[in-house]
Amino acid sequence: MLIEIVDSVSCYTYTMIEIKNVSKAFKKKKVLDNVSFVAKPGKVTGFLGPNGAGKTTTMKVLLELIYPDSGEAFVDEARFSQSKTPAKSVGALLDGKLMPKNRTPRTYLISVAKANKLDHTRIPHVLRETGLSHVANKKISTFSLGMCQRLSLSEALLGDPDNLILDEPVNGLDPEGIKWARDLFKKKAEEGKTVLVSSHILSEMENLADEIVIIAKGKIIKTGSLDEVKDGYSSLEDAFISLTGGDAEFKAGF
Amino acid sequence: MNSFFQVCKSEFYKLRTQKSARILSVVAILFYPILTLFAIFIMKLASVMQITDNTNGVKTQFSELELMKSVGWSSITAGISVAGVLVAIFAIMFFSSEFQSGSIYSTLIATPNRIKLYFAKFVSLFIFTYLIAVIGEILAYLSSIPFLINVEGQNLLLTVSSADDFRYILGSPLMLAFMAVICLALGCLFRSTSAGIIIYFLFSFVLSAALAGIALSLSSANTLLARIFSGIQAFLPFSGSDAFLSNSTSDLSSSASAQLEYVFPLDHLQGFLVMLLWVIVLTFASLLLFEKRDIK
Ligand SMILES: Nc1ncnc2c1ncn2[C@@H]1O[C@H](COP(=O)(O)OP(=O)(O)OP(=O)(O)O)[C@@H](O)[C@H]1O
Ligand SMILES: [Mg+2]
Repeated sequence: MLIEIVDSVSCYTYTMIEIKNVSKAFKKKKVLDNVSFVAKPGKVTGFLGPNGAGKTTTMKVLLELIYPDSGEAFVDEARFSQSKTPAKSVGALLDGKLMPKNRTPRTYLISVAKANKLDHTRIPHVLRETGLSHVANKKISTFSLGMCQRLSLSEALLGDPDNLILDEPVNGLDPEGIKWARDLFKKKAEEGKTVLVSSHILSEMENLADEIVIIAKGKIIKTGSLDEVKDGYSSLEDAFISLTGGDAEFKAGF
Repeated sequence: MNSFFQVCKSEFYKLRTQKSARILSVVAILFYPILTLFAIFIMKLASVMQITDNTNGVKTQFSELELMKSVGWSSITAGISVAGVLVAIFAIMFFSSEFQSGSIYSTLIATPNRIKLYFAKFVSLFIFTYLIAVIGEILAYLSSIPFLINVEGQNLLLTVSSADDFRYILGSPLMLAFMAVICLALGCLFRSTSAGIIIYFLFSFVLSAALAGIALSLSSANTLLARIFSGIQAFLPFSGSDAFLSNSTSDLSSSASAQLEYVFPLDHLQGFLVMLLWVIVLTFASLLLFEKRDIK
């Protein structure tokens, strides 16, 4: 009992996602401007911002796919590329469409499992969990957006990681899938894992997130618990629009 | 654990389950016995033909025995000429297709250490292509048995007796593996299959032929200039493997090409070193850029 408590406490102190003063420019265009925030363990952190605000770029910096011009990004207090067990440390979903088209989910997940010496018996398990068992041996090129998104999720879950970094994970999912994903992310947070999720569906975020980080034009403009961010507004959507109102880069005009 | 060995296993698995790599490697393997049988067929054909010397009208006919004796280990490994092109294509794709499909993201999330990933691809491709060549050679040898075991009462089956034999048997797969890792580097540098393949063809055929042509046309006018062009050609990536596997003896003075005064000759060892140098230079360059550049 005592050991369990100690275990959970230590897990709470170590698994987290941290971005410190990150700036990044793409060909002189400043995309991230001194971005700092923390996603804490045991919480779902909603990462919100208008199109082109820098959410995906931030996540790529965390995964060291993009190197920041200045600042640092840490997962579990270390740079991700230094991780000895990457798949156990981070599960990530960037874009479901970025898949090797001429493979099948099964061979694809086996290659991921091999790289990290993961138990292959997890593969049918995650495929079942994401509802892809019946297409495990079909070519990925024949998949719909939602199916690709589910496959990305099963890949992210494969190592049962301590941190989840998910860029618009419910994009393309059907209503049942959205509910399943919401319950899953909540469950992962309850298990003490750190969950960072970006999404444009604010009503969905309101049901899911414990903490909110809002980014606009590469700058963090608001962080806090869901209630703090919503304070004084009728809904998260109202809060978001009024906070980012002047900052949306792409506005529809009539 | 995301150890180097684990990542190698993953990359090797990707390679052997990739449909295009599978098809291309099976075809590459088959070309070894095909070209060996072709060489044997040519010799058989020559043995039944009379060759007339135009200057004095004397008709000569070589015996089958004499002709078949010229089927050597170089015929067994001749398949590398076609296998090289096929292997080059999937070696380029091994990296470039990851960039083009975007699966490089997931690959790097599973193995965020890029140096580890690069060398895992390097090692698995090296072993994979070496094996292709060895299997091809074994099939080629087996296919030669029925034709060589009894030629006019003599057993002409190939035996391993000299260092030159080893140069073909073990060195030719090595050259194929070198070519593959050079192409891996091209795929990683250009991040595009078509760009990689264009550069490969440029280096291995177009540039090589152009330089040889220029050298030839200059040879009568200016030997020095011709030698320079021929020298550049000799240092192109895949000329190294040609020199290493060339039929001529190591004694260059007696080789045919050395008699053309302008040709810049490389011996076997020099050819080997040219290949090795390209492997090192291109691997280093693409590794450096792969490590430093963003994956956007
Ligand atoms: N490869 C790239 N080259 C140049 N600029 C880029 C590149 N990728 C993104 N950008 C720019 O960086 C900015 C941030 O893009 P990012 O994809 O991070 O936004 P986002 O918040 O994820 O938007 P969305 O909600 O539409 O997904 C945009 O202005 C975009 O134009
Ligand atoms: Mg995005």
